[in-house]
Amino acid sequence: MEAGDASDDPRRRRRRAVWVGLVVGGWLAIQLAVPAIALVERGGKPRPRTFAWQMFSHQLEAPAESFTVTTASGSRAVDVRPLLTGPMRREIRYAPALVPKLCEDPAVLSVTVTDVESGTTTVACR
Amino acid sequence: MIAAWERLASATVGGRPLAATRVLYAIGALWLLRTDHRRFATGFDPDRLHLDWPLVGGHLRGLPPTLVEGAWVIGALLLIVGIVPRVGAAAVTLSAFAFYAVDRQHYGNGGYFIVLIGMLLVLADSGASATPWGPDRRRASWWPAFLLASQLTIVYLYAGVQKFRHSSLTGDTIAWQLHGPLVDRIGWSHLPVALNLLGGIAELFCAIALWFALTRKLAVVVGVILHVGILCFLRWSPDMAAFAFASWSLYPAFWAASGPLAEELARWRAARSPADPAPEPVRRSATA
Repeated sequence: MEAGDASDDPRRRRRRAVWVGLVVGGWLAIQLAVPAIALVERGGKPRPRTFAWQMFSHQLEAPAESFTVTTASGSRAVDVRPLLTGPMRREIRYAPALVPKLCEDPAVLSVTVTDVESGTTTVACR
Repeated sequence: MIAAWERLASATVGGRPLAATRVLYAIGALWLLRTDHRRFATGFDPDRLHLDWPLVGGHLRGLPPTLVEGAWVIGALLLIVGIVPRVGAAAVTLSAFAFYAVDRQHYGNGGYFIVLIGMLLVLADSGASATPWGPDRRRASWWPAFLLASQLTIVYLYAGVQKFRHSSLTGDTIAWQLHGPLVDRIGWSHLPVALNLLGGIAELFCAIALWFALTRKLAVVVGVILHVGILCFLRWSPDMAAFAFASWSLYPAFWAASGPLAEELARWRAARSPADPAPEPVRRSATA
């Protein structure tokens, strides 16, 4: 191990050790805490969480949410993929953004969201 | 303990491992850009549906996609050639951050990993050696290499531990993702259980074994097989190959990170047994 210039002056060396300790300790603490919090929040629920390094560890073959719209002529399932800018990710709750979007259609009376975790909810559009 | 940390905080290492990290990372970043390229036009389009991240909101919408992609490419090229690599890492990190932060729909573990490693490469002197095979222009600080190596250990530990959840052990998390001619040829009903278990063991093994000289080369082989196996057996997702390159890019960092730690361990052991003198500080080669 070779010391850099900071080793020449004990005070500079001490100051460097403190700064490096803060950066290293801070980075590691965040990197350990973020996935841990996400995993605790997930618990035994089926939906994976973002920032939790869950590679190939969920069993949701279909998207975690599905949408059904009700019009005057009845109810039908909606393929929301054309509205999205990528594949439907299971970590994401799309309902808060998609329900208002689906309600923009004046023919839609209500939107029913079926979520693997929170169950089925119906939102009236008008 | 404080004296040991002071020595580590001022320790330097050879530049070749970090140069290898830099080059492999840049390849991974370019691969990721290639897979995400077609999403850039819609990704920043203010007229499309966006799912905002907290704090970021809609502030990044409307950024010119070509500007973001251009910065990404130039940054990766700077990393590959080793000219102002910190600027290159910053360019890749900022452009990748812009793409992933503009919309939650863009999130992927590979992209997140690329952003994190990029941030650490801004801190690291990955240009201390022009190429992975040398020669060294100068010595590089040890602690960024330590953070790079630690980051991979954290990722592998979390990924590995989750392979031991009940739903994973039954193979349910792998079964629906099996894909490709290899799977058809093997046709073994317990393949999902076996792959999940092997994957989890491999990730936990690599997380630990990469730190020790005795097991490091074996861990590299296991890690390469792990990621190639994922690509061969499982349903393709855009950032899987980029994630593999990002992971592999961190393997060389263990060569740089472990040397000073081993010296401190030897010094500590020597201090505990007065018969053995403490080791003299030595100029450690890049492959220590």
